[in-house]
Amino acid sequence: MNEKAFIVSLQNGDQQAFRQLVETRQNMVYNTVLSIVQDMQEAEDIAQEVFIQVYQSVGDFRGDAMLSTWIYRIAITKALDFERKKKAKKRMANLKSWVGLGDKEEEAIHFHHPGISMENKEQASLVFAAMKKLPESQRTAFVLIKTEGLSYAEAAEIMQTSTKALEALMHRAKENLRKQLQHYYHQ
Amino acid sequence: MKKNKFTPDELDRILDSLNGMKPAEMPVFFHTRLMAAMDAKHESATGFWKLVTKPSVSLITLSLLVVLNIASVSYFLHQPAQTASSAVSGLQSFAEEYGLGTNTIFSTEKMKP
Repeated sequence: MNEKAFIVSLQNGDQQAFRQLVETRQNMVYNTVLSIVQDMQEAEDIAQEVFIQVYQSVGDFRGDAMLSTWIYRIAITKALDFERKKKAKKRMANLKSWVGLGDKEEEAIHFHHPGISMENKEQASLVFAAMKKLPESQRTAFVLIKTEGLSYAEAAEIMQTSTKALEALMHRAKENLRKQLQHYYHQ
Repeated sequence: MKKNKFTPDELDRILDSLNGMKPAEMPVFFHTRLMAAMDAKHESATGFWKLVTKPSVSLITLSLLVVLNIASVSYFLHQPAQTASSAVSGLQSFAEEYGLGTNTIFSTEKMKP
């Protein structure tokens, strides 16, 4: 079945087509979300929300982009939204603890991605911790290129930007990661 | 001057530690859990409408609305008359007390010869 026919099946509410979509795209969604939120349980919950949104809004999908590009966009938006809410909650908890109304939220322990080999585990966890400090656009570019292994053209299409702009984003992301990694040494 | 622990080569090596990583795999039976989550969401969305469309709930809501309407209509029917008469009598007593001889539309009959 070609992609157009597959999309039509999804738009007609074909449960078999939706099941096929979930089974073929679940790792893609999970891996992307996991690299952003860095928590396995939260990543699975967000992946569920992503597929629920796909199911609910596939009727509005006009086919301007590839289906996978559209799903990537939903996954990234959901993961970044989750991160924003988490940061706001953390700020509130810190503020409450400052005025003596609650306990200070503890820093999350370093994340170990299940796809990293044993010998790179410690170094990779430093990179993941540093990634959390990157601005959203740089973080997204880095995740798509480095952890998803997409080409610059594919990542640029997902982020709705030019390849040149994406290269600049990646350059700045790497520079900022270097600074962050040096910062860990001084702590 | 602070000495950096990581040399540029070391930093590159750390950044390259993500190279060749395998994609994380979704835990098994994700589709089943997804379907359960979708059903639960659908249940909670339709639960409200189920409650609203129950005959007993509709009847109680309708009766409450009727009672509220009758109460508010009777309240507003009595309220303006009371306010107007008390305002006029206040004005008249004030005028009489200070001998201002203010003629209101209610006193025009008295003035006629």
